[in-house]
Amino acid sequence: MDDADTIQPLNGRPPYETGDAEAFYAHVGTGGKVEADDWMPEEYRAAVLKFVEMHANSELMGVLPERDWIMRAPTLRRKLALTSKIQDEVGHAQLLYRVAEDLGKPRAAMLQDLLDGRTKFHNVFHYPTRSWADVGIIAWLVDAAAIVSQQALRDSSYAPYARTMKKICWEESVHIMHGRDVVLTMMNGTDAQRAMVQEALDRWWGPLMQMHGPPTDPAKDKDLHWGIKAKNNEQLRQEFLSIYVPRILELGLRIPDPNLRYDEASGRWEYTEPDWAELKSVVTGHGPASQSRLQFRRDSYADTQWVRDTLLGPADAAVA
Amino acid sequence: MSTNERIWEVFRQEDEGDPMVHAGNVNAPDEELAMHYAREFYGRRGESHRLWIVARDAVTELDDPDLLKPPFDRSHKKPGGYIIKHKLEAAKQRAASEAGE
Amino acid sequence: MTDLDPATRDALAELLLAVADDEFVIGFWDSEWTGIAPMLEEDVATSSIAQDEIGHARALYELLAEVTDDDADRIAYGREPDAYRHAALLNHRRGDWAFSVARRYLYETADAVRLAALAGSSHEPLAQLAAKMRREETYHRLHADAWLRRLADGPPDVRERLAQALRQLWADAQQLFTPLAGEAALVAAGILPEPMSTMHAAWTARVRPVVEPIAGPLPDAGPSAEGRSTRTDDFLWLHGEFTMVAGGAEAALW
Repeated sequence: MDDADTIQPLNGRPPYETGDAEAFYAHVGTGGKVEADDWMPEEYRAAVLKFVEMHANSELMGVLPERDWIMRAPTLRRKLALTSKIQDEVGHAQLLYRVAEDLGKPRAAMLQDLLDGRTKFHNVFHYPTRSWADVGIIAWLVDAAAIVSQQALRDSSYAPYARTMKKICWEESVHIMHGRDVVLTMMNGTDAQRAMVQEALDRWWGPLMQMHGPPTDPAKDKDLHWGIKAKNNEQLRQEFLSIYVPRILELGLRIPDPNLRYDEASGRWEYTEPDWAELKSVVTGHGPASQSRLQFRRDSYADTQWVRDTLLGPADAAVA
Repeated sequence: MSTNERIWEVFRQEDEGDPMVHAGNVNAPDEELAMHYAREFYGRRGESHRLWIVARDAVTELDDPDLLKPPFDRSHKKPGGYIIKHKLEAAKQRAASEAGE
Repeated sequence: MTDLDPATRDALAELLLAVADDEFVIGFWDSEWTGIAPMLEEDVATSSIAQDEIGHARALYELLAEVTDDDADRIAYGREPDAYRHAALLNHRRGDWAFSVARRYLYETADAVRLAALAGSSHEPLAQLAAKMRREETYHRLHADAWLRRLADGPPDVRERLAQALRQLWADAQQLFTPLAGEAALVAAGILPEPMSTMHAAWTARVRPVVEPIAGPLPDAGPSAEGRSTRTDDFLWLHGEFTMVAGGAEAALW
């Protein structure tokens, strides 16, 4: 056809009217995006908020294990890299809390819920650190496990979150290089250093395998349906194992799971069932460092309350 | 939100001559700290040539599809609305046959 | 550095070590705010500044390592506490936010005077480095100044926190201008374009009118001979921290 006078649809997806939840879900279910001030069903808003808030909490609490080493970094370059890495995590917390704030929950309320133990953060940040090797293992493998899920979130139906994940993923890729460099350097050092790395890996492997959560029934996963996230827990874990198991083994490190193997036939990794009871207990505040970390946060937050009061005025001011 | 807390939208230009693109936002009680924080969040890796920092409440948003994507044909306003391939072929053939006569 | 006679070279090394240690130690103290500063936005800003200071320390240690044929990391991490030459101002642990703001204000203003002088050094690598550092320090001063004003303009209890910190740190801040043993040779060679006493006077003239309205009249303190050699328990703690990993086996790689 030549000079087509056909009317082009606005885009390939069904539009939705304010209040029409069914049309809204059809929109997000077919790759449609939602902006902060678009109308959205309350349950979608609540689901995104819960998801992003937990992510933000994890970034903020994830600062603390590495922060134990910020005064102990052993060279000038490591001092710079570690401080910068932790700074990035604080920055990620800010980016994510900003996304969550625009969904209607004030930052102060989110911090208070975190400090009071009413909201959660990722399991890996409930464990103590013991040596400089932990700095390497956390930045390399914990961040790698995180980036696998974060990359899948760059397609989230909630557009402000998706955009934020693009920025975060780029920064995390720097962290992984920093962590891998710390580990590689130690592996090329003394026997004692190699043993230190192995000991750290042995401690972190269990929490790493639990990190993406138990396999879920995709049919029942609303976050998946609504496009808030794009991949399920087991897909993420498989992806992590595919990339990182070879990279761990090539350094002469041993993975503390005798059942870990790649099954060619099914095309998937087999492994010892992670301790899901431990995961549940840890994320509900019963991990080895859960309470000390929360207490440290409460104390440092209280110590600086006067600064926020001075600059920002009283929180949740009664006078509008 | 606290009394003096404000949200600032940050736009960044990656290189000289590039367009200003929305980068994200920061909370700050005033313009001066907003500038410092914008610099940190969107420039600390040397990734920006210029930043614009705008109080969110100074932004006027327009997203009404009736205003931005009106449903009637606007194809005459875009290069892609002019499909000339067949006309050009016909014209060329005509010109060639006239020249050959 | 063969063009310098041994006495001048030693004096240059002393100067570089003093400035590098200042930046190293304040960078460490300020980096401790990373993750726990009053607001998330401020956290990132404070951490950047701390990283800048460590970056400056690194560049200065590298310059020093060329002069003394040593290694920057060994100089930074490999000394006993009494061999560090930072000024007494940096002997105190982080303290609260008002304390950190007060210290950073005093430090940044003094550093500005010092860098302005060093940018004119006849020792070309030092002049170039000082010029580069000044570009980053501009932001540090704006930031420290912004916070000083905000706390000073806060409610009376907040202003008093700041005032107390300024009074507590005033005498120790003077020690940033403690005369160096080889100073006469450095000034004669143009490596140090002006004596510490001149810089001190310039700094005092600039800072007193800002600080006294907040802190009240301040004593006529000046630099003392031990301004860069006294060490406190706070610094011993810090030294224990930053050598904890680095102080391991000789053959270890970090």
